[in-house]
Amino acid sequence: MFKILIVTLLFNFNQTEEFYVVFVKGEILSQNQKIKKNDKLTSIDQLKFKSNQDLAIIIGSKTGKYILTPKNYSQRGESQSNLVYYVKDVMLPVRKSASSRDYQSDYVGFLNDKRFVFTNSLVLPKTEEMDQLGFSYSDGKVTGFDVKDSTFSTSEIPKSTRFLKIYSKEDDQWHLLAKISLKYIPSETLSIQLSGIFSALEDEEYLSGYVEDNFGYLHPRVLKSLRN
Amino acid sequence: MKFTSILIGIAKIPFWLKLIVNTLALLTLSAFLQSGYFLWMYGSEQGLLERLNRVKKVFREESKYSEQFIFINTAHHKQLISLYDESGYVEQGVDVITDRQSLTYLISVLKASDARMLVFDLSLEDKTEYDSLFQSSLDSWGPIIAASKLNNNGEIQKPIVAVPTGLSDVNTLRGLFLKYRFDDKGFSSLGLKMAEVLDSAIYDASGVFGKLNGSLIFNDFILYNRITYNDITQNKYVLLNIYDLEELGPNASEFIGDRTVVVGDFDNDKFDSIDGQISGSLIHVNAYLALKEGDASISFWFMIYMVLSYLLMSFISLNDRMIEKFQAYKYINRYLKPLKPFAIWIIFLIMTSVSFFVFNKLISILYLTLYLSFIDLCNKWIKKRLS
Repeated sequence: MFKILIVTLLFNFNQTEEFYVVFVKGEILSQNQKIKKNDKLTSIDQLKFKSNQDLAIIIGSKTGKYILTPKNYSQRGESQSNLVYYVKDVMLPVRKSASSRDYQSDYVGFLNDKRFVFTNSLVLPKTEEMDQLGFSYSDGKVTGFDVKDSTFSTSEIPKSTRFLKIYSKEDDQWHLLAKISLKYIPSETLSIQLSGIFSALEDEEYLSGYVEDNFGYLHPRVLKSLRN
Repeated sequence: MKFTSILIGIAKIPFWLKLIVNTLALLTLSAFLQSGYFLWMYGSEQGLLERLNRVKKVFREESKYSEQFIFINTAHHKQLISLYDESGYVEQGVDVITDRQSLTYLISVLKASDARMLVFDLSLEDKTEYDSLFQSSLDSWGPIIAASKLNNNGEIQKPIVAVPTGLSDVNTLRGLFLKYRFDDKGFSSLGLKMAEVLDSAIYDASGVFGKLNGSLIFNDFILYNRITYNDITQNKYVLLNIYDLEELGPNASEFIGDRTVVVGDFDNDKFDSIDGQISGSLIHVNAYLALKEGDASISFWFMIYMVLSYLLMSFISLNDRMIEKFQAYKYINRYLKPLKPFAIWIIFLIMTSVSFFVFNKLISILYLTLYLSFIDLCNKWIKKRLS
């Protein structure tokens, strides 16, 4: 009953908001008409995407910018074969990655809060205070990260790794900092998944925010190399 | 002998008179502590404010003002200008400022809309070759207010263009923004200027207090942020780049509607606050909303509340009879006496919580507790000396 009330409230709230289309990639139909830039949508309009790669960017009059793509629906573990969705089900807010600014002051919090994506290598940002960072699996042997260009990186992590212990070095001793959650995605897969988004989101911080929301934290340097 | 007779005199002061004097002292101290010039907060008290603030945020209506404001971020709209030395003739290199051409475009969009006001929380002090065009576009639409600053000599630094201005300076305490000042050395802040222009408010300054439309308000006070930076990042309000307005094309003016447009650098102009990081521009908007909602006003009911609270506090602090009643009970007495300062602190805590939730005003309690503890110690000392 409570859930129904919440859904009804959200539904009514979004219904009053108009969304302006500012970017379309691919072919998306609303009421059998192709949507195009400057069209207006509401949250309860039905959209038919021609392919899973199609996307649009809309700006809500009260809440700002969103990305519309069937992927936002499948990210929640659901999928549909006919690619017909309500706007409210496939919209994801476009936001800046907060972590890129905040990790300097609270690195442990940053490590604990995020899920980290790794491709061929795992890249973590380096803080001003920390010179050395190490990692270990459950066996306890700590291996140091490579320190380069204000990053800590390593390409030694097996694809199946889900968790990793992170250590910092103080007085020649490794001290446990955090246990981080990992997800391996091949860089080719990630490039294909993000191909449409690259053209829609030119701002790197918004792009980082999108990737973080959908996949997990990926260092901007890796993201840049995928874009190129 | 003379000193002892003074102490006897103090001890003989009627209880009701002590009560009134102490209450007045607490009220004066509270007013003094409100002043932004006075450093008064310590770590534990900051934690208390943050927790109270968090609880209050649970009960607020989110996106309440999304139909009144639209925020424009200029962090990515930059232009390079030549940088000169102190003489103004020798070129030193280049400087980065907000792109005036983009701002001119923004005004052209607003012209076609019903926007209520445009606020530039930006530095517009540097000269560029684009200024005459920028000025003529500013002249073609209004109302517009821009940011000014006070330099170290207390002189105002106005923008290069002629528009009404408000002070954009934000005072911080060890890096933390807490108190907002409406008037500094006779100059209105950006938040107050918004009230003056949007709501035709009239402000008279008088030290710690001021008068808004004839009613007494605090000139400095702890600001309750109705719109936080978190709200912006969570899409509770609209934050766009000027590029986004260009993307909206013919829909841009309809999109803006009759809202107030606040332009600032939302990425870099940020301060620590009890709501986490917050943009300077949001602080000024929150100050305007605080004025509108009466957060800073010293109303009749607020005064009654303060007087009654302080009377109660003084009564507990000065009256030892309650504790003396338990004198015969050795064990109760042993634990009751040390608990007194805690009891005072807890009553202060309840008092400031009620003040925050009902009147939207946070009251410093640390120094007031210290003051009452000091009075308590003096009382005890006098009694001991005279016995």
